[in-house]
Amino acid sequence: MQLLRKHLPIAVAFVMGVVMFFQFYVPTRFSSNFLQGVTQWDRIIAGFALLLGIYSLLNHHYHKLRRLVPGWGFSVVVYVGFFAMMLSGFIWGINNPPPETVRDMTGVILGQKQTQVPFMWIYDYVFVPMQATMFSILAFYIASAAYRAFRARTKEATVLLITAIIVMLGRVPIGALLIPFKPFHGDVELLPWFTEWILNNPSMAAQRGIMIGIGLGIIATSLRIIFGIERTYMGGGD
Amino acid sequence: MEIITTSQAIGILIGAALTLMMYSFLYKDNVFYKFGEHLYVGVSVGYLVNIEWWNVLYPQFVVPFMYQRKFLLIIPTILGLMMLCRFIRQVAWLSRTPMAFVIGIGSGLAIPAVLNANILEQLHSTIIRLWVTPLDIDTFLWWWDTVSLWIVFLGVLSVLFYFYFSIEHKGVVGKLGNVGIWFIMISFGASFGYTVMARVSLLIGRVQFLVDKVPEAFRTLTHLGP
Amino acid sequence: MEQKKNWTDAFTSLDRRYIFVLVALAVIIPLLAGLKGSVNISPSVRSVYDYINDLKPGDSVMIVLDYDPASEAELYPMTLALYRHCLDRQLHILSFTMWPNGAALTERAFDKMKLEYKPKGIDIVSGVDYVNFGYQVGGALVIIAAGQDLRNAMPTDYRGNSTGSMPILDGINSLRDINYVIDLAAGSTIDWWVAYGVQRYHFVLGAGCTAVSATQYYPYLNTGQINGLIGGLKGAAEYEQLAGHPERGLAGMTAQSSVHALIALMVIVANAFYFMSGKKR
Repeated sequence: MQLLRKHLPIAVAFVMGVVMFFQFYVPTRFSSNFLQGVTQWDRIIAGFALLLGIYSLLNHHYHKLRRLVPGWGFSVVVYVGFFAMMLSGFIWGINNPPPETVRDMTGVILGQKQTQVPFMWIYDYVFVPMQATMFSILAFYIASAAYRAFRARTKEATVLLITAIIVMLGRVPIGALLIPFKPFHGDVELLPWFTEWILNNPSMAAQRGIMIGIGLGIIATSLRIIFGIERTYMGGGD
Repeated sequence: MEIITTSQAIGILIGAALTLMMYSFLYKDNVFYKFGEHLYVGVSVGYLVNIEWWNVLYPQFVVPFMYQRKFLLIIPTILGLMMLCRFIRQVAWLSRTPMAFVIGIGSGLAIPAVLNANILEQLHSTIIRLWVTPLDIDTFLWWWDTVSLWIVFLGVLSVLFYFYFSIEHKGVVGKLGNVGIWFIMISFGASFGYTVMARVSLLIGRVQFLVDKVPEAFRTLTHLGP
Repeated sequence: MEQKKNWTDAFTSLDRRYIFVLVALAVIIPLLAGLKGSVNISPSVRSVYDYINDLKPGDSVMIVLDYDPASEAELYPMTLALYRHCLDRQLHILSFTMWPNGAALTERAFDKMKLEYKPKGIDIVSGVDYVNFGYQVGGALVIIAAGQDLRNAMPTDYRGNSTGSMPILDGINSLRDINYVIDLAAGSTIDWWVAYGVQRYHFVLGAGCTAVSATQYYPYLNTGQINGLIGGLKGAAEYEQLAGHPERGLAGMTAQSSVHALIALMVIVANAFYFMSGKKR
């Protein structure tokens, strides 16, 4: 049983890791077909992983309803939304019909209208507004944090602050109006020009250093997984 | 000209109401926000089920298996179903093999890809050009651009030294690491400025919806549009 | 001295709801006033525009919408500006997404284009002028699969039609045959496109991204691994201006300016109060 539970997964990770690593350097037709086959298989397995998330969420709210914990009414709302969206897609489909031309009584074209299937209607007027709004709330919090917490306590924090202000103003039209001088006889004002220079030079240099570091980390972690040192993907237990 | 139908106008008003319900959280957590939050969760799961069937399982498995007769695809399907056993405690171990398959492939593919794209290309670009060509451009601009290239070189080197923790940061290594901190602060400052921009853009998007679409919806409903 | 310290403390620890109101007003007032302006065009955005402009009618452009409604405010205006530019140039558009919540957004964008171009006498037909492959599961594997064999990687489009004999895919077997690929990303998919796409299959890649992640892609721009970068709503506004289709991006710039100025002012004022109270201590 240990073979199936522990040794087989480690062996599979090792074999697939080594094979896919060497595949990159083997330019034959067989290697190319092999890559195609493996990616197709992997995508099918990854498709099932999406179901894990769906099950997990519905299961969580099912238990809340079963035990009638405080706030169970909201779990009813979850299930109502779930069934409404799911059934609308399966019953009426997920694609809108083509747009129609609208004419008045004399045949003059007034415009174009797009009728919607229920699935797309719920997506456009329930899903999109709510997800977009949830993330837009962050604008208020970032403004509040900038005012209440962002202090130039050290020299380094001061540099961070000044750069942030330069970039914030340089990337919007108001930056061009603040200092109208155009360096190097160009056609861009000082603040936007300096912002571009910061992004393309010192900031880019730091990001490149971080990218190289992350790249080395990814390679190290991949090697650890392939050689069976890193086994957290197997979950807990033996 | 785009004409809004009655159902779309009603939808816009519902969308606006839900938007304001979500924004009510800014005052304090309340039942309207919770209602909206849970409705969003339910709708998103229902949406995912549809996309999972129409865009994933149907084209990736049903079409090749049933119409193109690629019967070998039953193997990854079984592996995928084994992965779902993760939630059943008694047979959770069955999910390890498909997980190992996926993770092993990912790890093997990542090494040459990341090595080329994120390390070798980046290093090459940093050191290959340390002065500007052609040489016959404006002298001051030539100096400025050449100094910029050296700033990039120094920046990459010093940041790499800053993140190298295997040796003690003293002497030349320590000084170079300290220079790296300045470059990182500039980069994080730029990131913060951009982050503010991103979040504000999201807010602008929602307000544009409320300011532009809601009056249009009211006009459609009061004139009883098509 | 104690009184002054309380006064500065009162300002620096202001209830955040007052700040929320100020931010809301800074956004709403310019949008209600309908103030519009023009923007400076950055070289990274111009690169994308010029590359598409230089393509011939009938060439194919793959525009990948790797985002969901959370980033719709920044990336959807970018999407529409690119679609309009491509349709004006009579280029074929191939789209898909690797974010499940973005699949319907892609279809919605094409529906909007059909609505807009029909009065101009241009009927945009799926499978002929454009194709929406919908959501593709697998992340980097999608890029590799498409780089090997596009029809095999995406056997059906979003509507379930087989891609086997679609006219738009004539002469296109893989990513190598596509004239330009642009990834509009809310996450880190540009890294995947560079590492698994450009490095293996050597096609030209452009990128659009949210402003949050823009700084991390400048190294790719510098090496030439991406030929251009459209960053955030400002990038979308620049592209709209270049393509001659001003819409949400440009309309939002005045509000963006006012909020940025407000936040910059708040940071400066808060730090001034901080230093004043700190010096007295």
